Amino acid sequence: MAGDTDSRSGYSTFEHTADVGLEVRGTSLTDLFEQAAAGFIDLMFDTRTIRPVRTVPIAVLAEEPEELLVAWLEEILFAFDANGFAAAEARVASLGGGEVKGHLAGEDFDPRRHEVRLAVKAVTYHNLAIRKVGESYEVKIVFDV
Amino acid sequence: MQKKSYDLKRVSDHVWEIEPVGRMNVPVRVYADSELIVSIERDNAMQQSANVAYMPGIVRASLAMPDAHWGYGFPIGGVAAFDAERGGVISPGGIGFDINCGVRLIRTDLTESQVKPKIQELVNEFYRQVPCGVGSSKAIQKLSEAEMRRVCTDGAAWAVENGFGRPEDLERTEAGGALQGADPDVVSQKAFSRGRPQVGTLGSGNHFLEVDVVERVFDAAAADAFGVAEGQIALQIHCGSRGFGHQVCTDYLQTMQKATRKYGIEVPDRQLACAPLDSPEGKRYFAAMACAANYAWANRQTIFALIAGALENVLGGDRDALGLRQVYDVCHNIAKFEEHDVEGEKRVLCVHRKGATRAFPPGHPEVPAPYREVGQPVLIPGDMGTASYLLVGTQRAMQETWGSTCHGAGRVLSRKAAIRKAKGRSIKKELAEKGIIVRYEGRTTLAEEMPEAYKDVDAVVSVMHEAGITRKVARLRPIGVVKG
Repeated sequence: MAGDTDSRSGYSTFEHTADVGLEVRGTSLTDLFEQAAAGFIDLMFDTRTIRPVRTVPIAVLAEEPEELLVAWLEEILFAFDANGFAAAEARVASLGGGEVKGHLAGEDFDPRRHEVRLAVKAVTYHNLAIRKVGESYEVKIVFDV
Repeated sequence: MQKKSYDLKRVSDHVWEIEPVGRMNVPVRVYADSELIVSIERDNAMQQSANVAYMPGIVRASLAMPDAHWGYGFPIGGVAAFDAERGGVISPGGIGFDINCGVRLIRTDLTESQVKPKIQELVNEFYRQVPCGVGSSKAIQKLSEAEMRRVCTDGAAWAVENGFGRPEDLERTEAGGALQGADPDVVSQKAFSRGRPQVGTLGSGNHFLEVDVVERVFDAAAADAFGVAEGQIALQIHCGSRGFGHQVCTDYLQTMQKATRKYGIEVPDRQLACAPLDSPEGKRYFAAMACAANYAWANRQTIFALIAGALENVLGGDRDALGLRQVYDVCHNIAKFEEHDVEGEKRVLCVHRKGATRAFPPGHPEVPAPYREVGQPVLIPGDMGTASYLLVGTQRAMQETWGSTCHGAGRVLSRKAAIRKAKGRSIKKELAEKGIIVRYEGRTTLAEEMPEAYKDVDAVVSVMHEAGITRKVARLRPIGVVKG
């Protein structure tokens, strides 16, 4: 599993005894949020089968960037668990002032065509810290499965 | 992962300790033998127990059970008690996302020879009656908001009143199947919308329905009191509060990030975010957590009725003719206010059990009347290819572990490592060769949940038995399993 080819932008998974984690890199905070969402979606679904036929708007508030990141990723989980919406991608429209706005693109989950790769319960705050390394941003996120 | 910054010492055959250093308020005490301690240390669970020892108002020790493994915030297998009068806190990360994940054990009058010829049919019928897997829903009609509020406050009693099970089941459920202090007004609409269609569903991961044979009885008097005998068929349900509980935890983790800053609390991991027990944030979280705990009891109560119906469909007869009776229902992810003896003084403490099971002794008022002379039944689900245990609580548990014990085998392999290990093998076939029929939902579920992914459940319960915390009553061997 891998993200973009740019070494400053992308994601990879790491192992944890009971759970699973993502190591994410972005060229900006916006890119970091989009890469984290792409990595999370890739953990949850086989994205090749999900068509971006419908969008769901997202707007979340939080005081700290890490809290905003968790709230942003939780929207992907909520869309699926509460509304049966399988996201193929997530886009950030604006990020700043304790708010992220954007949308998810995907379609209604259909067990005949779609596959859940990993049943994620939640996004954790475990040792969560967004770091600025040179011109890029990095974060490690642990998911509860 | 943080660097190891502690010194672990063996203080008795089954207890190891880390003395408090730096800002640790109390020592860490871990129950393990010389083999289990190796896996506990290897995956950083001890550092997480040490982190818990930093939390304000923690009393006596940060405890870890022999099935402890790396979690997030608290280790899985962690127990900690907090005193409100000494600045004690409540922490969603000390309970987990799956609030009141727990186990229900049901005894029957059936024998293995009666059930074995129909085990495939029975497992199929369980699978048909109880939706499982991620996002599973609609076992029963989607609840209205008014009904959800009743589920939040009444727990298992809501299910009984709606035709799922009997009042006698409630007497044999921890807290009677409803934690007091639940307030639906502090639960988000998001949690409600996730919870409404999911009552009566199993979910995914390590959750299961199981048909077991009581293979061996260790303690005849306790087994007799619990209605369990060698050769008998028993049923097990392992699941929790589904998306409702996950959302409650998620919502309050964000609240607690702010509260931690507001009250000037310093914790070594954001997942340990917390608020004083007597603060508005702490009180609201407890009231919301109690709603999720009650949802989980309603869920297991509903599932019990669904699988009782499945058993009737396949084997004929009704609940009475089949001898179905609930032995007990116990939770292993929860925080509760309990009275404990603290160095000679009675105190009400908020005991967090994250992957740990309550194990109250004989004579305790919270032990159901029919079991009061022997103690509280403790249910320990093992991996699907080995065994599960029925144990009983002791006075020593009250003295040493706030009346708590282990909760299962505990993972030892990551899910990816388990999938790698299962490559080229048919886990389903391997289990069938051991006489275990399995139905499952997720493509990788069986590999992730393979027996080798877990510690040796016999070793885990033996540590607690030899340490005198819980006594073995019976060992259960699976013959039919439904996995989410």
